[in-house]
Amino acid sequence: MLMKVSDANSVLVFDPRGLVDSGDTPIAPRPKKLDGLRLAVLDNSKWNANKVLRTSTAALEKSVKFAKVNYYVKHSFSKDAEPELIAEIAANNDLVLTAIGDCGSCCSCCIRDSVALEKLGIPAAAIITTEFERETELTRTALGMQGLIPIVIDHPVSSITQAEIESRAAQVALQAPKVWLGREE
Amino acid sequence: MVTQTLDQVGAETAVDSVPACTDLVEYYYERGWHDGLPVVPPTEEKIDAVVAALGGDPQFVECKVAPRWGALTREVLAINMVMAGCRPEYAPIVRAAMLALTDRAFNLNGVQATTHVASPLVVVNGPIAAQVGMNGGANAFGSGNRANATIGRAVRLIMLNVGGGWPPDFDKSTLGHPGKYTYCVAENEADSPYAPYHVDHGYNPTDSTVFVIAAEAPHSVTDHQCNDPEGILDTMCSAMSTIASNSAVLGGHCTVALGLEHAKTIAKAGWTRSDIRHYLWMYSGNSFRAISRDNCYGKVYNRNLPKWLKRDPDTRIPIVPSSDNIHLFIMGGHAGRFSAFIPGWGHMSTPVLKPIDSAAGPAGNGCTDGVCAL
Repeated sequence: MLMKVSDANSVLVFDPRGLVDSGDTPIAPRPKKLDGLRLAVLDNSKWNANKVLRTSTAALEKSVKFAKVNYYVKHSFSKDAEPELIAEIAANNDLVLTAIGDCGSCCSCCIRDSVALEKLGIPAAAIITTEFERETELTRTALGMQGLIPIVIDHPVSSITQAEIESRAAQVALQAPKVWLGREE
Repeated sequence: MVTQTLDQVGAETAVDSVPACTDLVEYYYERGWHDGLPVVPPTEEKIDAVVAALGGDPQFVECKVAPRWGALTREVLAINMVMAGCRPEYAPIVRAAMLALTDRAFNLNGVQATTHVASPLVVVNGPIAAQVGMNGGANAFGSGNRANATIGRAVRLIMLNVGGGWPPDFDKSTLGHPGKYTYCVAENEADSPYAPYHVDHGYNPTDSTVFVIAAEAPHSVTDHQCNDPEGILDTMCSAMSTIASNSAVLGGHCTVALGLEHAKTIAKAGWTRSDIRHYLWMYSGNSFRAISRDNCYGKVYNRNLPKWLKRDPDTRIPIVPSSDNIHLFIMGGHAGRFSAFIPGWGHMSTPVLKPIDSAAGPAGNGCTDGVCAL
């Protein structure tokens, strides 16, 4: 088992972490423009995710003419979306907006869903809150997609007022086009 | 505190050498390979003994551990077990626990990352518990037993070192709880008036199993007055029915640890395990009015309850969706009219029951290779 030996002047130490084999998978190709594309909105069913997503979509539609907006809800915010739901979204849409990553498991699963969709060629914008930026960095690294960029909005989300929802939606509307296009618009 | 990185430095091998004068306890602290307590510095001899107990082949990958997705080879499992203070004969239990935790149904990724307090609780049933000296009797959840303490600690060290569940980066728990150091017990089969948990789930008494569930810390249930099943279980229902637990608002699964005195009183009246679980399910819970705060903050709470529950103010919302989701164990010492309720994390994680000897296990729907998602 061992690659090194100890002698009278040395002693062996052991790394308990195990190897990670994640590689670096590129994100999906980016479109040149957003008008005419079909947007999937993936609601993770967390408190206020629906309000943030609907308000953000309305804000985005002021400047982008989506061909269609399809709304999806996954049952558990702390679990990955079912593979069937990911496949359905990928088959019927060109872009994804998903929320809300405002808790540890919610953020992790929003990023995991986004990675799954990017691998299927769909640019995905996951909305997380400021408290979960570091977790997002580690998660995308562990999953081997360093290039995945999230939308970061102010924490918290689950108990905020409608005025605060609109303020978060403005942050989303500013960042989402950059994530989808892979550049400043 | 050392900032962990995702990559294993040195890559090809888990071993390195340092000057003999090195303080090894401090070395492992400095590398960030610990749970806050000093670890036992692993030696080649101790690691080899654990690998042999696992069947040899040190590079065999047992599973990958989320959210870092590190490979848990038998060698790495052995290193963590030695660090935790385990004896080699505990190896089959630790391995079975890790295989159960990495079953997809358990959603270890979510359990590691959540802001909730949840930590995996491991309950061991069958002859192996007594063979390795586990404690299901007095102070079962407390200190003082090497097997309980170090098996649970090995599981946590693997979740930290291999799974990368380091707070505050990957483990985002707001508060955590003491069971995040070690959380492993046995059922008190020898003194219980009932058949063991695993036998109630289709195993033979001679089989050994691990049960894993994402769990809060135990909440004590005191009842020195009631001398009948209804009275004792009504007290348990009171503990179960707080709206402050994840179970109350997110369903899922929960654990009830019935103390010996309570269990014997209930058994003497002729009640079965099934009677107990059904009574607890039937008479615990809250009105939808209470859980929704009468909708005064909007209707966002509606979305996380099962669709088949009416959203009428007077609808009773059970703590978990079925009596089968109440996992009942008989535990504790001979003296004391105390039991415990242990809320779960919610519908986001499904407990897993797994045989320690892979030859054992019930056949049937919902079970694969002896593993049953409950």
